[in-house]
Amino acid sequence: MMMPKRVKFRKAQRGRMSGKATRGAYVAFGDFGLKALEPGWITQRQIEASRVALTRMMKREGKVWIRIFPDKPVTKKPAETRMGSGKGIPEFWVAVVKPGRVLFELGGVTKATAEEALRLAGHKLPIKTKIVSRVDYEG
Amino acid sequence: MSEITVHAEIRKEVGKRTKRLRFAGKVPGIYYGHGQNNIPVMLSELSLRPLFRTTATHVINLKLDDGSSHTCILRDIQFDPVTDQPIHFDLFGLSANEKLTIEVPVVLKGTPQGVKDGGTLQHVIHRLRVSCLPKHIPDHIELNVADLKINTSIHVKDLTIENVHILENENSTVAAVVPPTVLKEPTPEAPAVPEGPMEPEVIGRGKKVEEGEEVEGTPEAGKEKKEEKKKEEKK
Repeated sequence: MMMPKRVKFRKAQRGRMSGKATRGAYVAFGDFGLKALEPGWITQRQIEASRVALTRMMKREGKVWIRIFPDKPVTKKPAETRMGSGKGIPEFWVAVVKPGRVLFELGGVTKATAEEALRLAGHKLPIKTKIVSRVDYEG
Repeated sequence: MSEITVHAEIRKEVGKRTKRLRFAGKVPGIYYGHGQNNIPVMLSELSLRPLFRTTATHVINLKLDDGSSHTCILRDIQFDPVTDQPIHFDLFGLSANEKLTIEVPVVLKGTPQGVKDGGTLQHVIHRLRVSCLPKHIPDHIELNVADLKINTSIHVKDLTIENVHILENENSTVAAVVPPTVLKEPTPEAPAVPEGPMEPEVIGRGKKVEEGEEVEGTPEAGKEKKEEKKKEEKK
């Protein structure tokens, strides 16, 4: 699963997810993409589940680009622990996604295959998504 | 190079007032050129669409409502990140004797031999930045990839277009056929999810600890000893 190799700090604050995506908001590498329509945290497990769904549907054809990376640690306190005594231990990693962000891209497959693969991948995510194509794509 | 005629209106709304235009179905834009005055213009979204939803470069014959006409190209277009609707565009006025820089779409033709053998065609560069005179602007750059086999590629240096200078790095790959990807199924012996530590290395922390150990245990241990000494002195 995706996670950073080295970090500067073990734990991070939660932060805010206001506004729209200003970077990574258009299909840059492939022909089709999956775009986020809501803000949210995408965990490393969800990214992996979507990637598996994409590659299974594409059956060794084409190429997949993952345009997000889970670089934010999320901490959790153990069950049945009293409040206080510091922040919990890092449990998993998330990618912070704002509306408009392209999450995955596909290339080298037909439009029908790409749409079905991206539809399946979108169902693995906790946010609303839509399928987009490159600006100058002439299908 | 194909020509297209576009009728645009000169707009007076600038800045935040352009929001009203977008509600009315218009897209604000700007016309500019070397040695020419800027003209704020607006177009309906439907008449703008053929200019960017295409793999062809158009020379635009811009006709304004004051009766003037200008020859230009679509230099830039901005989209809303969520709705993907165009929110602004730039038209660049052409002068016949002045070279310009423009991005030209690359179109692949034919089915590569490598794809028939099971490989995957990768289209790496979709648009090439070129420099040329306005009369030499190519409609698009067509690449015949029918002869491409697995593990072969076409680079920028392989392209030759008359009267056009390509500005990209000559070693950049435009298109390639790569071998089919082999899916690695997790073996039953090995766990699907590695049970290793979920925490990555923390930059700078490991070094400090090592240095501390070499001299006198960890830095934290040193602090504790100092505190104990202080307590004893107080007593």
